[in-house]
Amino acid sequence: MAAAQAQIQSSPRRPTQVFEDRGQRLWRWLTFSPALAMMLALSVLPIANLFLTSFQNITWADGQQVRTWVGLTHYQALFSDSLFGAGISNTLIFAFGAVAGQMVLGFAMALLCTKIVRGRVLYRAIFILPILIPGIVIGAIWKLMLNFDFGLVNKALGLVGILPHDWLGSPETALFSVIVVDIWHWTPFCFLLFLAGLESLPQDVFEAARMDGAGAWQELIYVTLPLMIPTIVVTFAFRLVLAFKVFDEVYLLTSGGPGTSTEVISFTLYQRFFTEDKAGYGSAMSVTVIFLVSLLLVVALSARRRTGATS
Amino acid sequence: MAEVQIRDARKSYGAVEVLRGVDVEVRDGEFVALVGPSGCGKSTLLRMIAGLEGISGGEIRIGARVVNDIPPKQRDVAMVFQNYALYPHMTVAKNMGFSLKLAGKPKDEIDRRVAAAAEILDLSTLLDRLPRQLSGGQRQRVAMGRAIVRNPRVFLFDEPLSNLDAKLRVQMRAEIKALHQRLGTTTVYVTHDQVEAMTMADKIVVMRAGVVEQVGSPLDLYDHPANMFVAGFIGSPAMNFIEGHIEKGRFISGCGLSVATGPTADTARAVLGIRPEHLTLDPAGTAATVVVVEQTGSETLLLLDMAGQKLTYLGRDRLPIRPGETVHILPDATRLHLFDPQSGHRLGDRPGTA
Amino acid sequence: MSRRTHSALPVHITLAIGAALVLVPIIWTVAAGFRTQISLLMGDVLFTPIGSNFAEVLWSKTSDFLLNYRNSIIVGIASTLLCVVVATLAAFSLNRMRWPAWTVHLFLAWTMIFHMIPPVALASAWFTMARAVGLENTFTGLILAHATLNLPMAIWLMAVFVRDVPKELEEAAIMDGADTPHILWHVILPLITPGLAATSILTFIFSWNEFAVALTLTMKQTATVPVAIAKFAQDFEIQYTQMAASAALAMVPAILVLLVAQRYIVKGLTQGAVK
Repeated sequence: MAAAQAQIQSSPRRPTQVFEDRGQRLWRWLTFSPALAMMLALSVLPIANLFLTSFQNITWADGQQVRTWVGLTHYQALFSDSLFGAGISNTLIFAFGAVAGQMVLGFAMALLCTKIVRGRVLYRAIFILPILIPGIVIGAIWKLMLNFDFGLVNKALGLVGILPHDWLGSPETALFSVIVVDIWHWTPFCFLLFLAGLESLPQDVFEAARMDGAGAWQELIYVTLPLMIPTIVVTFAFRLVLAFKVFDEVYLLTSGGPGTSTEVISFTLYQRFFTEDKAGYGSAMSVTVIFLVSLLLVVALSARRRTGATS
Repeated sequence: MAEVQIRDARKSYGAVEVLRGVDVEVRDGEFVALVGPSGCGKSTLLRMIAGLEGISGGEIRIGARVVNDIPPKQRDVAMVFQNYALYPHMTVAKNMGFSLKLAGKPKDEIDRRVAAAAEILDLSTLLDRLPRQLSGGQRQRVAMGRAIVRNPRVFLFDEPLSNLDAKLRVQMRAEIKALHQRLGTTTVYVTHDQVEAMTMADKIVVMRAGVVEQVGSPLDLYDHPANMFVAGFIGSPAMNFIEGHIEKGRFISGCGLSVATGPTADTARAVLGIRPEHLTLDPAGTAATVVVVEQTGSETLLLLDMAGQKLTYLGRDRLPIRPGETVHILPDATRLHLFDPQSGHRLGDRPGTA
Repeated sequence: MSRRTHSALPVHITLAIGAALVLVPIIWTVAAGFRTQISLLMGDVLFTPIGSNFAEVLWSKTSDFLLNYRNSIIVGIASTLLCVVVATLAAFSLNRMRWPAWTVHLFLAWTMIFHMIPPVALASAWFTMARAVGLENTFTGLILAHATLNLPMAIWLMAVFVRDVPKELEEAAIMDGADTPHILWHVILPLITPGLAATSILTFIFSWNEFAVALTLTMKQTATVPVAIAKFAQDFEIQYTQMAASAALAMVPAILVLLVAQRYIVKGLTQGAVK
């Protein structure tokens, strides 16, 4: 995604002083304005609205909206909101835990897939499937799979003598279970990107390494991994961003519970804004989250520049 | 058809000046080649004529009109691109007829004109093919066909042969030349290959670093290069340059070479230019050691070392010479070129040709 | 990177286990849709498949699932059309219409930030706005929201595909007398059709899958499939077999797309992130 930007920016070979008549100037605007209008009306405007609302209290009187100015009250309240704190820390644990698992498993599967010739397309087709399934359906699938009474997970563990456990119902395992579900959901995405990356690596480098006497393990450490670093960095950033947005599975599997053990930030937002109808406070929380996300982007982009991960 | 006049044309990208005042006159029906090393601005100039690039300064006239502010479609010029730029999703006929279709011409007229152009270019049997089903030479002809169906006032060629293999290039060179003779359309042809320019053009414009170095007919440039750059750029193998000085009507070089230059003022430093084909093997000449012998069958090329001075000799005869042997070299005194080593300009008004 | 054939068997076994881990939960859930509640609780390996769960979900008076399905299709198709048309024009414009670099940078940086924001954070603002202009509980509101949500990804994808069209073709068209709309229609569009297909399919799937915004912007009449499925989990007594049946039905587009257009999906998913 960051690369798309770099590419567009470098595309015009001769950026200035190009022949241009009035028609071209008109079409330049005509082609861009729909996207610009949509982004302005449906992203800039709502966020501006959120920003404004975050300093206000909204109440309803006789079907009329009444806005009262409350200054930074909502932002101050954020610091003492235990749900918000739990949301932030759970989201971080969730995002890094899940993405780490997805990266390792996805890379291993992709590497294995490149070792075979026959059946690669079939495996790829199977592994893609979870990416395409609605998150809420994945929640439903695992709500069934992890069910205490009849879930397949407890049945399978029973076969090896492990007692049934209420995976989603106990505070110690709930977040872990949600992470496992997310790994199931998104490992295929990492797999797909890594497979594409591995398949596009230059073959001659591997032949040269083999001529130099590198074994399979050395080949992985000294050739494959260094060459894959750009792909790994991009995939990690991409997945991390999406992991911070997690909502659907949590909504269906645990609704943030038990207690606050799976309270993630999106869910906290939802509860405060919609369930409790605290528009002002919810807006302050949204603005804070958006600010944190932008901060993350800046950090990610500068890290990306430092590692020289361009593709 | 029309003439093209370029007056003091300038082009800059920000602070970078790519063309620094270029004057070129293309007469009606003339075939003009723009040559020069890469980055000399020849392609930029062509794209300015086409209207694909804006003009930063000066003016370009096609026919009677100044076209600086006229969009490409109203300039009535056609262009053949380096990579042919055929529309991959259109058949040969559609590719060739696209401009006529855009111009709103009736279908039967499009068909007729495409058929006529295909006839000229020997493409009649390929009209329903897609570009990817064609060979390199055929694609090249379709690209030309796309240009000629419109019957434009000027043809522009941007290094059209650089993607073909050597043999095909020679063949297409002849075809383009024949096409020009048949249609008589004013043509501006960009190439970095001086052989192409020499063999095809009525007039050559040699460019370097955004300025015109010399304009003239091919043989004019060969015989009277205005400076060392043109002298070295035109002709293959390239001209030999020998440093020395002129004293009492003779050029004398540190490598032992000494030739009569006719009435020329004495200078402390001068460069003698002599083409490889204007050296002769003569016992009266200066001794040189043979470094490399290249036999092409029809010609013999010798790379020589004359007391540290590298020289190239080209002869029509097959010579039983081996590297390490000594030969004696005598320049043809009637075909010398003298240059000022500082400015690179030609010294005096030497006849050059015998 | 292959050729070490002596180690092929362990590789195949590992991959097969991976495939099983992916497939078993899905198949088991679909199978649960064909069970009775009792059979599911008993956990019999063999069972007599019944169709009553599906019938209940699809045709019972108390179920809106067919309506939800229709809603999802309407919202998916309309938002995909809107999103892809706008994204293609924008990608063309940003790539080829010589915008100043800062404009391109600023816009793309904004799409990136926008893409990172949790939809729930936006949903609240959209909800407020939709209510202000009377678009809450309408398809229009949700269609606009989904098109906007998917716009960043669609623009990045289309930018990659547009960039792959050689610049010279466009110049050739200009020399042939083509104006911008001609170039777009006769030259660019025919050459990016595969990319357009990939982007459209992904956009549709993402709209079909989207839950958070659909949950907040719809009500009974306009609810989409994910919203309907989520309802099962909220019930006091969860109808597990019906939930399984509706989950199976919700997976149909994903499976269809995978069977028919795997190539395009792979193209879309990999181009978007790696390139």
